[in-house]
Amino acid sequence: MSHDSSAHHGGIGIYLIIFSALLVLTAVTVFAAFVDFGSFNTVIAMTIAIIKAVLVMLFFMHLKESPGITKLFVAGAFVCLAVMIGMTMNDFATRTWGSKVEADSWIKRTPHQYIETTQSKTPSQKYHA
Amino acid sequence: MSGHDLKTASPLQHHFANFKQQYEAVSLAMWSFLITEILFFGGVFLAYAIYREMYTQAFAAGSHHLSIFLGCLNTAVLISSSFTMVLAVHSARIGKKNLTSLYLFLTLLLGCVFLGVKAIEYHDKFINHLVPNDTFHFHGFEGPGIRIFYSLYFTLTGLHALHMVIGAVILVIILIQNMRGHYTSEYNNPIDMFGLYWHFVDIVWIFLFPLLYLIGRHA
Amino acid sequence: MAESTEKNYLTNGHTIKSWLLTVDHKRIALLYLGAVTAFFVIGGIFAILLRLELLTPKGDLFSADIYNRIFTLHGVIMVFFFMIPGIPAIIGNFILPIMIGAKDLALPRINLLSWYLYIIGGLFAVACLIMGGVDTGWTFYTPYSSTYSNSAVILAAMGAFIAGFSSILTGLNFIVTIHKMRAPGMTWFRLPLFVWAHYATSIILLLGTPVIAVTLLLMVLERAFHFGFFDPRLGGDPVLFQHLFWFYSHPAVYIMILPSMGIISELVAAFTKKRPFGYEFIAGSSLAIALLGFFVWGHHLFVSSQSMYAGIVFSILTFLVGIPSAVKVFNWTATFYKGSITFETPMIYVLGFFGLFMVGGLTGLFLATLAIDVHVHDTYFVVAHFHYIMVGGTVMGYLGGMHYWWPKMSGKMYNEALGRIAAVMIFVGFNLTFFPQFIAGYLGMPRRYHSYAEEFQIFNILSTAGAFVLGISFLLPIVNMLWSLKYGKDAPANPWGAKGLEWTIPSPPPTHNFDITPTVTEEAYAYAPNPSKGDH
Repeated sequence: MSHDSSAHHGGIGIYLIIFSALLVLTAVTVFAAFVDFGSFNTVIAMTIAIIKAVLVMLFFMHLKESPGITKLFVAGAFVCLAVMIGMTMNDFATRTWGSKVEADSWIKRTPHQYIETTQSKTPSQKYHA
Repeated sequence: MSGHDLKTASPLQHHFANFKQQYEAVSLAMWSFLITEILFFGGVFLAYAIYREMYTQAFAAGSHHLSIFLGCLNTAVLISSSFTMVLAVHSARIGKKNLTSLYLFLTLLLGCVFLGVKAIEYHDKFINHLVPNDTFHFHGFEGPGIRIFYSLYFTLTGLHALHMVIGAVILVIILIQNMRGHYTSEYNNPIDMFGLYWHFVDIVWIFLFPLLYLIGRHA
Repeated sequence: MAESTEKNYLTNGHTIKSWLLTVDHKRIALLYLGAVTAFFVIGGIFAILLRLELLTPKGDLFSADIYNRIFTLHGVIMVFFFMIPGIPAIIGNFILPIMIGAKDLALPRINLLSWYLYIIGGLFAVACLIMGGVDTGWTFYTPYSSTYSNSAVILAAMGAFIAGFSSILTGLNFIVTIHKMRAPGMTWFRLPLFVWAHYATSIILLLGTPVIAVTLLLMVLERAFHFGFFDPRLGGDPVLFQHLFWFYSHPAVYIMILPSMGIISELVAAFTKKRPFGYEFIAGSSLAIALLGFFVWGHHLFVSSQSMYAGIVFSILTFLVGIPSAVKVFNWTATFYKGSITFETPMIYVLGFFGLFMVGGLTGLFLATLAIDVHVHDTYFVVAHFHYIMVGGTVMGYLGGMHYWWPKMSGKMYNEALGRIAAVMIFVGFNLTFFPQFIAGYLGMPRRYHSYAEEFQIFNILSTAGAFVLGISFLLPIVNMLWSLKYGKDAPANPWGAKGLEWTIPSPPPTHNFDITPTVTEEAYAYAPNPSKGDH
């Protein structure tokens, strides 16, 4: 074993445990989907998915025993992804702040609808905030 | 000086000092590659996030048309294939060649089951005009969001399936190499590194399943 | 050291196969040199064509449609096939392993694969050219690219996609190499600043490039199959494309500049015979640029209906990302103080870099300011800004580095007089080309138009004249290098008297770089203190 001379790859017990946990969590996520938690449904589903992913990474992919730099890289990738999604959603979510167009805090009008509404306006109506 | 051409496939490459350095290098390399894959899929996840908020009802309607049973089955199949894969790596590390071959084969089998189920689902979409090209027509919901949903569904599951197909091909090669005795307990990097790739593909599905199949199911 | 009869990496195998199937990082660097130079020339020809059109206010040389294709191809080729791979694939590939005391990169076969991917991507670009080119701008904005354009969009997108993967593999290779292949004693803070710069660049390559890859894929799916992503008629949002596109393409400009800054650090040290002032800060600023560079992409969307509040956030962060670059410039300048400065060709390029990069960087602050950007967005002000950084910054650094390491790569000395003349001519030609564009842009001349209002003509005439001077000047280093192969003096191992592991091995190096893996015992840039300047 090139990376590890001491035989700490003891048994497969841990893999069995994680495998069972993953199947159980899958069942949980399906059942939870049928219960009305309101807007929390998405949060619950994502949390369970993240837990499953972390279990796979730590134990099946042996990230737990990997060098710190590997863990840093993986964390960094997810941070980068979070920045990309977060800052883009920040744009979409704040589009209509302070706007005189009636709208809710999240963009309710689709681009499709914007085409229809702006076509019926005069130029000054179109560009007035 | 050996190892200066493409043909040399000795276990220890010429520019490495020892097996440990080689293992650490290829391990970091594979993880770095998986990081690029996280960002690659991530772009589509961003599009999904924006459009799901924009077209919440449409996404729920689209999701309802997907079969939870098949999605759940595939999730279990893929998780099981990850289990057999990690057992394959474990067996390789302790030098059990035949056991390794068995687990590699089971992984391949489960992967093919996954792809088979996917094929059934895609077939259903094709015949129901749910492919988001110019033949697209969804009964029961009006609005542009439903086509966006299916565009994302096909892109995400399609990219995922493509990764699985590539994985299956590589798995066949690794299985054959293992059966020919190319891997030992000292050198089994290809199995180890392929395992990382396979688990990553499993993780992508772990996110795809709730995001595509389980939207607004409580309604 | 005299020319030995032993084999070096150039003489170790003479067949085409030994070159096309090489796994030697030095040969792969030369393969890249040939391919990248060819694309630079093609991209440059497109630049000359568009500058010819812009001599007169009317669109008389080309139709608007053809002109669109010309500037698009100039951009696509220069960005994806010259600027992004340029320094890392040529100088990085060649010098980085030697700098850290390694025999090769960590993954030599992946290195060769990356070259083949570059070539395949390039073939797609050539195919696009043959099919009439693409007219969307290198930014491929939707829904024009995904729905309305009648040009070879998919071929261009595939070329960029494949070339992108080539660059990902290069970055991946560098990261693994720097982590795992350093010679004994080569600690992180003994690394040359060139290595730090390439490490930071590789982080961006790894994290950013996949995003543009998938974005182009989505655009192609929309174009080919009418999947709905970015076309409003299908329910999509064009601004989403812009977010995805610029999430990569802004950090991409740091991919283009960071390696050049790494070169400048090396040249400053070598030609002042001094350890760069604030070494740790220069190293850290490379990482800071890579990190902060991921937070500012929205400044390309200020007038694209992005929310004003998101715009404010991106504007502030864009100001912040200028700080590490300034840190570098201050540290380089401080290095000159009490240094033994000599003015060989590479140093001329360094001085040119300082002036041009500073103008480019400072004008970036203008663009980061929301209110000013509303006025100058999509004008020639922007064009001038990014050319000052990309040509004035990256290309000057690239040419300085090529001259500096050419003796090591080829074993020959280039002609010093021609080298200096070319450097000065490039500086003059560059300013003549691009400074008038700042003025024209500020006065309102839009970019990407083949015709313009009469009042801008004088600026365009100056700019076109400059472009011809620049174009001819760029040929001079190529001539110089080719001349050196036949007539140049044999190069010693260390023609510059510089510090660094690459100068301890023969010019040209043997295939395996080091007979015995070196053990590093001294700090980076361990130049002897200069008593005549007051050092002790």
